[in-house]
Amino acid sequence: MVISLMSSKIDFEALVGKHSEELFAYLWRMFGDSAEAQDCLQDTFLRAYRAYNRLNGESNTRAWLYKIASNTAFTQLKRRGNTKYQSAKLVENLASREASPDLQVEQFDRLEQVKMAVMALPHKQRAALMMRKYQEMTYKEISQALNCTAESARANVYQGLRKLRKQLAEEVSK
Amino acid sequence: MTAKRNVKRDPTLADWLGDDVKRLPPNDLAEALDSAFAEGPTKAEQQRAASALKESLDRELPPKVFYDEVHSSTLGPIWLATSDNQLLAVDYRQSEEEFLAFLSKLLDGRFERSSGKVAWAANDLLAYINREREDLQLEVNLSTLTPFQRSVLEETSKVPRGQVATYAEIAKRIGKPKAVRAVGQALRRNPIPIAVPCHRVISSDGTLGGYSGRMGDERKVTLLQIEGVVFA
Repeated sequence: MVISLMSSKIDFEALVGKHSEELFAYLWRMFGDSAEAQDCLQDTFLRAYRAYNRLNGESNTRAWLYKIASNTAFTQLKRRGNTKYQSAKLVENLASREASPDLQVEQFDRLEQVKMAVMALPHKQRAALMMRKYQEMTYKEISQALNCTAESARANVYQGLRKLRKQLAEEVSK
Repeated sequence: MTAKRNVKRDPTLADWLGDDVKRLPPNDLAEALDSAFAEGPTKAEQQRAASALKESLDRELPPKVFYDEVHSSTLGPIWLATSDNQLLAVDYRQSEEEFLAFLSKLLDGRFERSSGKVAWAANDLLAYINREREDLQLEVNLSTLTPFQRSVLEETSKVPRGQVATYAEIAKRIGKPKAVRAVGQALRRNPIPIAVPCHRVISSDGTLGGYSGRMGDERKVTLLQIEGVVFA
């Protein structure tokens, strides 16, 4: 009985319906770019479909999907070559958001600084930070998604925050 | 370990590194991060991503297969699977897991449980079982079967309502008079019972000759009775 459960496929479309929005938001935060997040989302679900037979009933499906999404994102980011966030893309993004025209230049600069600092973080730290702060995941889930211990997930968030704080403080003092 | 020591020196950060998801990092950082990331993608971006995802899955993966369970007072639970316009499987298994395991062996598809999408077939099937209609003409898909299985099931579909044929007769009609046992096997593995009326095929000695599942014989009798076959 257990064996038949493990080898059976479950309702794949329900999985897509339930998790695609939050995964897109996560990838959007990972890339700082809508088009790249969109590509990565597609690859994530294609991989998920192919790996489906290996998912057994006991797994946390959500964390499992985040794991595939994270690995796919890391590969895509590596392929892209530069870990530096391109500010041209930010401008594009902001334009597409139809930001109010009287948005203060100062505010805009600040926003860009933050985004650039976050995008410059090591991918794993950014992933842990985003999952923690904006994807409402527990450290246990994050550890499953990043294939590490909960302690290491926590350390990644911490190191990321420390780096950000240091960098942003430097920017301000300039 | 260094992380731990530093955390102790920074109580606000330590707070946030606790297990409560809702807690926030120190204010200055929280505000900065929120300004860039809290909102996330816009609704338009979400919609574009969703439709691009749908297109990509439709293009790269096998087609959607809809399934659901219906209840018939006389035959018990019946699982069925359909495409948009074809009936793909009918099954008497007890649980969703068992049915999906069977289905994934039968065909490759993205399974989606949906009462709405299978309703066109489910309604006809139930109406037939409940004797509200006498004809059942659902388009079926036998393409996943071997040519032999297909020929047996196609021949079986020609046996009219209210009548029966024997395994030997079906074997003869498909031009393989010696393949009586193989005909029996093919019918036992019929993935679309009721719609492909394997219940209308019986043994040459007049006994039932078996039907799917534990309550198989009872179901076979019930279906034949529904169709007006009289048992002596």
